[in-house]
Amino acid sequence: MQKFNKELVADSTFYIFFIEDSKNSNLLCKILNSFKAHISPTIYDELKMKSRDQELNSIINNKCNIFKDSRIKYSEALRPVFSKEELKKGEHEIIAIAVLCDQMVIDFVLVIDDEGPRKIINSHFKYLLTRLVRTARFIEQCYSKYDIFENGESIKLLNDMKSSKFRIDDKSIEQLLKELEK
Amino acid sequence: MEKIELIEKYIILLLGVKDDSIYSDLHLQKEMFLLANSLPHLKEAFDFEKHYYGPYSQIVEEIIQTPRYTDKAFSFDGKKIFLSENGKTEYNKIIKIKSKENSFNELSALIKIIRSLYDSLSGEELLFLMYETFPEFTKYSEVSDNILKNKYNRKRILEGLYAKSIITDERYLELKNAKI
Repeated sequence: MQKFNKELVADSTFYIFFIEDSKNSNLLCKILNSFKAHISPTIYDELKMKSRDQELNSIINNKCNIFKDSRIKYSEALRPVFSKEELKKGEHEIIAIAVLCDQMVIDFVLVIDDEGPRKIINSHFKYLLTRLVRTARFIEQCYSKYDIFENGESIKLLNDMKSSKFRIDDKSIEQLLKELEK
Repeated sequence: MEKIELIEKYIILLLGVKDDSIYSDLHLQKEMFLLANSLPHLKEAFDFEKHYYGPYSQIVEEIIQTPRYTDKAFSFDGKKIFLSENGKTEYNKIIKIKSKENSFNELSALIKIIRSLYDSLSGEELLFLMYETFPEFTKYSEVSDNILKNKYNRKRILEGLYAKSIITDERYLELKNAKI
C-alpha cells in the first residue's frame, strides 16, 4: 500500500545497491511499496537480469512505471553530452525521466549517485536540485523523514554500504550513521 | 496534420518553451536536428542534409522565413529568433489543447532538455559537438577541419565545453583522448 503521494526516480546504482551490494531486496520492496517508482528502460532490463527475488520482480512489473513504450528517443538529444559508455549504461535516461516528471507536476525524490548526470543537473537543471539526494542520504531519510524503515534497518544498510564497493567516502557515511544513532 | 504544419508547430514549441530567444539560425537548426533525431517516427519529414555548417534542413529554414499556418509567427533581432505575438498566441493554444496528453508532456520534456543544454553554447561549441557526435555530417563542411583537427582550436573549444559543464567528465576525456 502506498503511504503517500511522493514518487521516486532513481538511477541504477540505487537499485543495484539493494540487490547486489547489500543483498537486501526486501528493503527495496518496502521502498517500492511506499513510493511509486519511475524506471528507465535500461535500468528495467538490468533489474530483470539481476533480480532473482520474486516479490521484488512482481512489484517492479506491477507497481512501477516503466518507460518502455515511449516514441521519443531521449538519448539522441543527450548523445552529445554523455560518453558512449555512459549512454550504454543508460545514465542519461535519469535526466529525461526527471524532467518529464517535473513537467507532469509530479512530486518526486530524485536519487542519483552517478557523477555524470549529477553534474549536468547541477549546471543546467537547477530546478531539480531540491529533489536531488544520494542513495546514502535517501536511506537515512527512509527512517527520519519517510518512516519506511526502522532505525536499525537504515543503520544496517549504511554499514553494508561502507563495507561494499559502493563509491562513497567513509566520512559521509559516518556522518549519516551519527545522525541515525542520535 | 500535414508534414509542414507539424514542423511549424514543433518550431513554435521549441521557441515558446523558454522566455529567451534562440541565439542564431545555426542554434535553431541544430536544436531542431536533435529534436528530429529523437522522434524516429517523424525524423524523415525534417529532411536534414549534410551542409557547409553541419546538419541543415531547408524545410525548417523556409518555415522560419515564411510560416504557412501561423502568419508572421517568428521575429528576428539581428541573429536572434523568437516568437512574435502571433507565435506566442499559437504556442499558448497548443499548450491549452495538448498539455494533458502524456505524449505531449514527453515532447515538452524533450524540448526543455534540448534548450536547457544547447542554448548556452557558442556556434563553434555547438558545431564541435554536432561533428563529434554525428561525424557523417562533416561531409561538405567548410569548417569541420578547423574545429576538429586544428589542435589549438580543438583544445580551446573542448575546455570551454568542460568549463560550461555541458559535457560529463567521461565525455570530456573521451573527446580529449580521441584520435584526430
